[in-house]
Amino acid sequence: MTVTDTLLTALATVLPEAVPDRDSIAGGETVLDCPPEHLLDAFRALTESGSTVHLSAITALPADSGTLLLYHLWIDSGLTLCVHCPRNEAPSLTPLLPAASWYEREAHDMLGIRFIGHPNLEPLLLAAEWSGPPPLARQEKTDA
Amino acid sequence: MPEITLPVGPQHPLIKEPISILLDLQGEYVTSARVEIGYVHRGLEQLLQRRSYTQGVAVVERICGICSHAHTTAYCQAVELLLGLEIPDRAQAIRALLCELERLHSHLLWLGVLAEAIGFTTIFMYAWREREQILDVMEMISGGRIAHGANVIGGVREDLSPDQVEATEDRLTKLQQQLSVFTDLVDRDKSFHQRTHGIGLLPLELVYAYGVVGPMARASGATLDVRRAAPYGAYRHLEVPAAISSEADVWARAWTRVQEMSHSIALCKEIIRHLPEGDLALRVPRRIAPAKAVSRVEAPRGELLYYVESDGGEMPARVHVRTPTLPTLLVMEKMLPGLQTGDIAAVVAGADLCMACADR
Repeated sequence: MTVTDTLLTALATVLPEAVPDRDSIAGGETVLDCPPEHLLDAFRALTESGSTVHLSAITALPADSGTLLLYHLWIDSGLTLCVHCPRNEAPSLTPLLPAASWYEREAHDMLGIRFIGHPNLEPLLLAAEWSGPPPLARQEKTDA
Repeated sequence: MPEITLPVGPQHPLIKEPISILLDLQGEYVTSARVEIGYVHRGLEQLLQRRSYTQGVAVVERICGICSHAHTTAYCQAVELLLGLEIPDRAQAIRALLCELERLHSHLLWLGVLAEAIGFTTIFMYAWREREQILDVMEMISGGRIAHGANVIGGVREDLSPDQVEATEDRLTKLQQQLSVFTDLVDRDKSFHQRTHGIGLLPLELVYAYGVVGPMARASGATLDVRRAAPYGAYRHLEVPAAISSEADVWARAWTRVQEMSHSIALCKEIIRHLPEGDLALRVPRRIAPAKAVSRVEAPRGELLYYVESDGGEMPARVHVRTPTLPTLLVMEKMLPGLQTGDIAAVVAGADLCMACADR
């Protein structure tokens, strides 16, 4: 089963250039690229399409420049919105969808991503006194 | 009346794992709640990036002491997706059998914890007695009670002998008979009803808004069950019944799980009666070409998601784990306000929290 055409049509109004990709992530996921500035509009379009949007997880991973955020959704089938954040910051989804709250806090913990508009971006898993760099962020190599 | 803050945890007798719940109380009533986690964070996602794919199976198995097999199933399935492998039918069946046995022992454990929290020690003893029987079966099949070591990338490690099949079926039949104790409890027991009915309401809108999954969500009317929505492995050939309630309270969570236990027994019997012949595992390469995979399985507490990325080396470039307890913990901040202090134990124990899963 793939994401219904209705959803893709709804998303096409917000993300006209995005091409649904069914090969880059194995496991039946449909992948759509989404610029960070259109993320909230994309979620609004999905919820307004009348479907139940289930946010399964947000995977954050370091990219060549900045960070990559993968919003894994379940709307009758798997849909992943792929958001490249060159400046290591992204708009917070929490005010729209509270389910994002802890996933964003965890991504902030582990990769130092700033989620603009998050009501409480405190450490979730790391201790409050943690002073090191974000554990999963790509470390710059220094000449020792 | 002045408002006081009651810290519950991080160490407390309610559940056996550390979690901090800060409750603001106005007299006997909770006005607001804050949940803090991370007390058993072990940095396992980072560790997985420094271990081979094969070693990773042992790491993910130790994320949780209750749903360890669900973790290895989701992880192995993700790595097999990276490799484009379809594991043998017999391996898929043995994996699913252990998944359902694990669901049985997890639900029995949960029922015992809830019963103890509401002062119903007899049910606690009965539930955990039956759970031991299931752990014995899992030990007989895999050699391990908690960490089963049953899954390997490409299949399963151990085969099922005809004697084991017979013994498993025998134990399941006995458990099916004992299950009437628990169905009577949720259907008829007056004191159980009084402690659980209308307590800890979780409306369906909150389930959707907070992304709650598993029996917790199904007790509020949500339908998502990965085994039904996106069948994987042996579930592609099995009919998984739905156990959905609209009562949305602690009682409904008990009803849903008791129904699911009955379904799990039937599924286990179905699997072992039609156990396919064939190999147990495929040989897999040590290095995996660059690829990405998302794997979802239905763990006892709900949808468990693994994201695994390979970069051509012997170790994964990234493994991300989203466990079903996380959204439940988040929505607790909405469920607890308005409760009387005497009901907090029923709601927290009834949420089936697993901190080791949540913290990783």
